[in-house]
This record gives sequence, C-alpha cells and structure tokens, in this order.
Amino acid sequence: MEWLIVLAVVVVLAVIVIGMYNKLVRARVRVDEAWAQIDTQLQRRHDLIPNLVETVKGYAAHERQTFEDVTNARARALQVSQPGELAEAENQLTQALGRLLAISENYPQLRADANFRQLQEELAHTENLVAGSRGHYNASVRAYDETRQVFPTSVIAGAFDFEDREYFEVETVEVRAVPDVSFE
Amino acid sequence: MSRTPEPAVYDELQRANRRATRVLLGGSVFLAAVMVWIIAGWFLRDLAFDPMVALPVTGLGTVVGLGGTYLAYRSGPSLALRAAKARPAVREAHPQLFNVFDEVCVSAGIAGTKPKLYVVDDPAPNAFATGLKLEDSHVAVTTGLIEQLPRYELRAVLAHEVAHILNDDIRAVTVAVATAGLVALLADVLVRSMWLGGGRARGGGRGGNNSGGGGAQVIFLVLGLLAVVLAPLAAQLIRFAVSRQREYLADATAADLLRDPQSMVNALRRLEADRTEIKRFEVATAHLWFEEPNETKGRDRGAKMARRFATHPSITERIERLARLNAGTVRLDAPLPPPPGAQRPEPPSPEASGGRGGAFGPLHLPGMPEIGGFPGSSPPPPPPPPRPPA
Repeated sequence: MEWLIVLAVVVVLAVIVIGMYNKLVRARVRVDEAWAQIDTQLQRRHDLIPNLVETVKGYAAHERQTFEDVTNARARALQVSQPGELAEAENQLTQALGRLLAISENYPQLRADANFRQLQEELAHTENLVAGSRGHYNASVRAYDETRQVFPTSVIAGAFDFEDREYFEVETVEVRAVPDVSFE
Repeated sequence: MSRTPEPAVYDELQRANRRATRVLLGGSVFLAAVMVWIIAGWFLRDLAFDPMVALPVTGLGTVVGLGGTYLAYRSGPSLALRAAKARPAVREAHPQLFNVFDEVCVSAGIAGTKPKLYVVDDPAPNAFATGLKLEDSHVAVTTGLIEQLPRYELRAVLAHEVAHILNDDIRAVTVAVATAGLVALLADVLVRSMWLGGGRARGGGRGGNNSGGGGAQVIFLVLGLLAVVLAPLAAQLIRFAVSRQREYLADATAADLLRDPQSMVNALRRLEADRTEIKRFEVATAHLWFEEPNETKGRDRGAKMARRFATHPSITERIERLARLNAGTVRLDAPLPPPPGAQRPEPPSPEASGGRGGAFGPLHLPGMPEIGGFPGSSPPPPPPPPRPPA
C-alpha cells in the first residue's frame, strides 16, 4: 500500500516537472519565433533602402553625406546579428533614414514622384512592421523571463539551463520618433 | 476588472479576462445543468433527490443540450458573417487595409495565423470579429470604416478586433450566447412541462404511485416558477457580462499592442461624432460590432431606454477609460487628422495632428528635423512645401 502512495507522489511530481519544463520551452520557442519575425521585417527594410536612395538621388544629387550615412548604416546593420548590437545598428539606420526623408521634404518634384510616394508607403509600412515585431519580441522575452524567474519554474530553468535572452532596446526618444511615417 | 490598472499590467488584465471567460462558461454550464435537473425533477419527482438517478440524468441532459448547442454554434461565425453580408476582402481592392492589418498581426505576434479579412458594404464605419479560436477567426470591416478612417485609426480599430480574438472574447461570446439560447429554450420546455406534468399529476392516473411526492411537487413547483422567471434574465446577464467590460479591455489591449493609444482615442472620437447607422445587422449579432449598431444614439426616451440595455458601454466612457489608462500620452482635445478621402490643406505638423505622435511622446524635439505627413495611396498629391530647394 505504501509503495502505491510513493508511486503516486512520484508520478504527480514528474507530471508537474514536465509541465513546467514544457512551459519554459514554449516560452523560449515563442521568443525565437518573434526574433525570426524581426529578422524578416528588417530584411524587408534593408531591401527597400537601395531603391529609396536611388530615387532620392535622382532629385537631390548633392545631398551626398545623407546617402552615405544611410548606405553605411545599412551595411553595418547587415553585418551584426546579436540583439543588442543589431538594435544599435538599426537605430542608426532609422536615424539616417529619418534625415533622408527630411531632406526629401525640400524637393517638391521628388515628393510628387509616384515612385517615391509608393516607396514612402512601403517604408512606412515596413517601419510599422519593424516596430510591431520589435514590440512583440520584447513582450515574448518578458514573458519568457517571467516564467524563468518565477519560483517553481525557476528551479527547472536552472536545472535545464534555460539561458536569458536580450531585449531589443530602443535607446532614445529620437529613435522612437524618427522617421515619422504618418499618412495623416 | 473595474479597478484602474497601470498600463504595465495589460497582460495581467488579459489573464483575468481569460479566467473570467472560464468562470463564465462554467457558470453557463451550471445554469444549464440546474435547468435540466429541474425539468428532470418535474417528471421524476420521487427520484430527483436520489443522486444515483438524478446525477446521470442531469449530466446526460446537460451534455446533450450543450453539445447540440455547441454544434449549432460551430456555424455561428459563418452565420454572423452571412448576416452582415460580409465578403472576403481582396488585397488589390484595399491595399492599405491589408497593410495595416499585417502591421497589427505582426505586433500581436499572430502573423503566422492571421484572421481572415472581410468587407461589408455599408457606409457606417464599424467592424467586428468572430470565430471560435485564433485559427478560425474572422475580422470584418465596413467600407465606411475604410473610407472614413485615416490609416492609423483604421489600424487601431483592427487592433481592437484582433484584441478580442487574443483576449478569448470571441469564443466566450459565441459559446455564452449559445448557452443563453439553450437556457431560454430550457425555460420554455419547463413552462410547457409544468402545464403537462401538473395536469397529469392532478389527473390522478398514476396518483397512487406518487406517494411522498407531495413535498417534492411543491418544491419543484416553486423551483420551476423561479427558473421560468429568472433563467432568461440570467441568460441575458451572461450576454452582457461578455460584452461590456471586454470592450474596455480590447481598447486597452489594442492601444498597448500598437503602442499607440492616441490613434485608438482618435478613432473612438471620430466614431462618436459619426451618426450613420449600420443598415444590416441582427439583434443576435449586435454585441459583436465595434460600435453597437442600433438606435441608441437618439435623444428620445426610447433611445435612452435602449442605452440602458445596451451590450456596449458608451463610446464616451470608452474614451475616458482609455485616456485614464494612458494619462499623459493621450490628448482628448487634439484636432483629428483629416479622413483619407478629404483634401489635405497643409501637411499637418505632428503637433497639430495629434496622430501617431502622441503615442511616442515628444515627436518634435528641438534640433530634430520635422517631417510632414506622407501621402497615402489614395489622397491627392501634397501641395508644394513652403521652403525652396536648398
């Protein structure tokens, strides 16, 4: 009779541990998935930039410095892959893009260019996708961290070595605000 | 859920909401089971208090009833879509709608299992979400909404509908309405069986067997009368419980998803000012819509009465709640951005538009280049900028 009770306790414990382990794994998978999503959106943005630069160049050829900034920032962003570094590189790219779009305001013909306007819609859409996937990634990391640090699961997380994940930080208010890809 | 929460605890609110869904569904099942028990008890008076008989009979009756109702409501979403005359949206016809919807889905982390988009031909700006779970969810918007709402407000409304899906509201609504229907049906059955059963007992055909049933008869008469009166009320309350608080939460979740409470507030303000009523809606699906589609907007007494029984809180209250949640980042007095169809007089400065800027705090920092609004796909070309080329 006693061994039955012991067996029952062991089975219940095992089920609890498996449940917590699976919960952690699910949270981690969600973080990875969210990261893949950011990657996709950033890729989309990187693909868009050469087109944008070319179009603006056609109307504002002597803003050389701005083009170089954008191109360099894009090249840097393509090289790094760690969340922290990538966030920084992407922030610089965001700022450079903001300047590029700001100077385009000075060229009425450029602003009337159908191609440029379509690029702007695309860029606005992409920026929103980037921001959205970033928000979702950070939310997933937060949920994962929470699960990893809350008491009973924290034991499992320690035992099975669930490593922590980096947030995709946006450092400054300026970065958050630029470019203002508003349609209104 | 009535406490005023910090913006940081949206996900906690969301969890509470999901718990409420479970409690609600549990409560509905319990209510249905009690009704079945009373009906069964009416016919089997002697055995109603014998657990060996009453439990299986009641359990079976409840399972059959709920199962049948669930099966019927499996078709609920498609019925709701058909009732609204919604047709699947086409990307070519509404590129911006699809763009903003993609943005919402990416922000919500459901880009892999996007709800299906539908369009309803109606000048009244409105939207609804339906379905039983994420994989089988549908979001419908009216053409009026697409035409009247600027990009970021359209996005906010879509986020509100997606929030209903994320918050487990669509399932709660669908099943709770189904259960409310079932309970009403059971109450009806009870009324009829009280006629029938009561007559038979008095008829005395089997009166001899009913020895000791006298006390039970009185008990079930009282219970039956109570149930007939109270059950439909309870069913109605379930429907209300599903809708009202969840609207606030969906607004808050949407604002949080997009990190853009200002656009949500702007969209609500615009819809509040709007007086067009949706042409085609059924009372059964009224609670699904973003803005309750009925005659509750007028000033006459009937409209006031209707408001009291509305499934939705008033838009004014939704705006106030959302503004309170996002105090400091939301402005209620900011001029609304022009609708997409309107002629744009000037590229609005972020200050004046109160649009997306509000969500991100100070948009126009000193020394920062000010960038005007972008033209959308449909508006006319923007006027020449004030400054000459450098």
